[in-house]
Amino acid sequence: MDSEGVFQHLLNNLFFEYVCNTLLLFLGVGTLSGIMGISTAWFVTMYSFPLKKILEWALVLPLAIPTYLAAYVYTDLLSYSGPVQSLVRSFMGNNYSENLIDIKNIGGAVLLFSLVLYPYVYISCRAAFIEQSICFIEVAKTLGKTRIQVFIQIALPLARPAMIAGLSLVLMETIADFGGVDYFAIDTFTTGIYRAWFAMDSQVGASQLAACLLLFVFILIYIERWSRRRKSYQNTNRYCCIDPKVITGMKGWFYLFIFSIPFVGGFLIPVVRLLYLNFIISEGSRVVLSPLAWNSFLLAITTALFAGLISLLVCYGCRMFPSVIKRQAIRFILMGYALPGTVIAIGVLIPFNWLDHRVGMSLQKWFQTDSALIFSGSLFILIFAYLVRFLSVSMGSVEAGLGKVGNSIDSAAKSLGSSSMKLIRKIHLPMIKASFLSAMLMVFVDVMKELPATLILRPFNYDTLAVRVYHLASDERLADAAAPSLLIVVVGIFPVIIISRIISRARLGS
Amino acid sequence: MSQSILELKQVSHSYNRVSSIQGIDLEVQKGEIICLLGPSGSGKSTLLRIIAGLEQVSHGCVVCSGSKVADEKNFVPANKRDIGMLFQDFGLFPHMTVFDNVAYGISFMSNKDQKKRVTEVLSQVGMEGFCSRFPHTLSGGQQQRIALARAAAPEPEILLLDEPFSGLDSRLRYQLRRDTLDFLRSNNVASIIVTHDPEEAMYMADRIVLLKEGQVIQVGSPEDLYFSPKTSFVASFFGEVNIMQGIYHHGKFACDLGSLPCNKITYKEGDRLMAFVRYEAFEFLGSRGIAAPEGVIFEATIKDSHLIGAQRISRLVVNPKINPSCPPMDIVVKHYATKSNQVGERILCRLDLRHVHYFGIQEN
Repeated sequence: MDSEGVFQHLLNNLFFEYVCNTLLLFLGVGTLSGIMGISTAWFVTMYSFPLKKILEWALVLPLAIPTYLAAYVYTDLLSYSGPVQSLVRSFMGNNYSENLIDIKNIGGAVLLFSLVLYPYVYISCRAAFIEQSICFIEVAKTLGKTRIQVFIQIALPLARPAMIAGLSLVLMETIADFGGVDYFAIDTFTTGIYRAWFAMDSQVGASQLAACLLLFVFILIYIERWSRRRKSYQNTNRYCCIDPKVITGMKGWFYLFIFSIPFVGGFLIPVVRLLYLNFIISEGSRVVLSPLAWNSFLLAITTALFAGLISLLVCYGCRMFPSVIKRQAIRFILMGYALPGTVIAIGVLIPFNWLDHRVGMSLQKWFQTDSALIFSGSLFILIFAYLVRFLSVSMGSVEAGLGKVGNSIDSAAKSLGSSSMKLIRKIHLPMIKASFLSAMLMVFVDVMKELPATLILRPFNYDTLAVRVYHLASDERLADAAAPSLLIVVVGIFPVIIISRIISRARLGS
Repeated sequence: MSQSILELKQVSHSYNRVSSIQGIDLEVQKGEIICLLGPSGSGKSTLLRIIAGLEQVSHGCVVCSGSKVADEKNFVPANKRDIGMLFQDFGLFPHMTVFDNVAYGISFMSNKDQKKRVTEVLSQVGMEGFCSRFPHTLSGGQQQRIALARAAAPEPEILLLDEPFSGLDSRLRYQLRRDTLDFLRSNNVASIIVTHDPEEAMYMADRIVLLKEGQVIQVGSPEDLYFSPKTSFVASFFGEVNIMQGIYHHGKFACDLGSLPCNKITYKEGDRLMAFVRYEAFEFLGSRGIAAPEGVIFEATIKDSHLIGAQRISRLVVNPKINPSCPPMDIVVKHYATKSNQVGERILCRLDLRHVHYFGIQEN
């Protein structure tokens, strides 16, 4: 098929399905993760109950589970031969042979994605409830309103910008997911792009699909920006002593049980299952971890270093010599995180392919030697793609850190006769060290987890943890994938700890 | 005597076992305006929050219109008490219009009644035309008025105002004090105002309750607290003072300013006392001002003098009368003067004894 034919085929037969499935995922994940995130945030903020401190923290942990891992583990758990159905069969008699639970469909994907992505909503709504609404809750109480009325009439409308910000992150992750929908055989844009590229060998088809997906992303970005438009609600933090209602006894434990479901489903069950698979089942037939881990580590640390340095350079440039163009450029860089890995992969592959051919032809012409694919065949292109996607993560952190260094500090240092270099070395670096390190750590972890771009762009036979997990899971060898999966989860917990520490520092009143 | 609207009996409260309020008694009559006054950390805001039902008592009880709303075991939450509260930062709901804000507490009324009441209360605070505006488009003073209207809209038995003017600039503050006072008087509602500003308390209150470290130090009219402070804390809280030490001797207080009549309080012969002399106790003779009914006249040298409006603040050097070998002492004086006094000028000064308060040294 020529490329036009491929796109015609896509348009006639698959495009509608891609749009439908993507929209269904959007609606489902948006609604479900919204409900989970908002209700847990409100409950944890407004009530005091047994083990509250632990739950507060635990509710963030599902972020450490990539969507594709959730899909693999739950499929394994709920499959015909999995422990759940086996247990059911043992109760109902062995002759019951129908597959009872099928999670490999849109409904299952919605449920699983929501379980691991809702913390975005939880985090942002919790911050909003603490910073903004609490001041107004007491007012409403003195005007004769109950907690429920306060929630619906005051807290929810006030938290709407935060809610939308959290939800748009959830949806960006949903749209970017490749491993999960691929495993569930749900045709969405990301799987479509991958298939157009590899199965149909059509660059044009893939990039046309990628362009369509970009449209979704831009709509999301626009909605997110729009929601922040009226952010300038004045909020004074004087009345922030939250007075959580104490729930004790059976009722307290019951509430704890209900509101820990997202954590149990999104973190505890997958991790326990992975541990079980790794230490009980796959004893003996173990995947050799060290080269994979080394590859992943090397990629992640290199990208993190570059991302940190580039962020520092760009943010500094903007601070020292501010201009409108530079500010716009930064905004442009910050959009990278919204781009799905598949789109970025296609986006960088095409120009670098062209460049490689050009270089190859020149070498042939002038030196009569064959060149390898210098850019597109090496780790260079992979790291470049990672940078496109994750630079925004490090940039956000560095920018925030640098923002805390007030301009008066610069002026004070200069008035004391300090040179620019001395200013950076003695004043800025010590002040932004923490945010610089956390910027690199966030990038590090994101690279460790990244799947679709790595899958497309990696050099031949260059496997990372995520890629190996993907292949093993595709071959239904989840027990063997448990070890690399666990490693990804463990690494992923670090930024979660950072995030929850940031939240707890923001907790003004309590 | 009319029935009291609010009664506090031995109310105590503690945050994490640290006592913040200890055994406070208070009765408030209908239409009475009470100021809870004290430095920060004195427990005045906590007391207000206890009355509002935002904070629980650890001992004692709160009786509202004859029914007990809080004691060690029982607690009626804020939304079931008949109170209105004006918060320090006003807490206007940013996503609602002025109308919706004011109507928020009277949603139990019919739409027609709501509209009537909102219009009525908004016109009382002079904000009739602002119904459809959003809070962030209003100035600080306007927000304060709306918040007051909102708190008063449900016609509560008691109105609680927590530092209602603290966030506003001083010029606006005077006007809002007057308007708020008019509003409270015309509604004849019992009000409790928390403030740390003694001038504001004296302006607003029928009775002032002065608190320190969670305890009531003195309760009384503004005149009582200003002219008859019970302790040195009260005396110095209501204005700047010069502190002088001296000895009680034959109905007189002998200090460096001379021998001052001190017959109101009975101290033992030879007791060491402190005199708290307000800055405004002095009058330059020959300058404009009302002559004090009684007084002590002494001579001093002007060290420096600054105009601060209608009055001047000057530092005077006085040669000690009791022990002339001691170095000369400085006193600070707030006085009226039409001409600027020269540094180094010798002047005669009269001391108004109504502004001199004696306390035993051990009281501190």
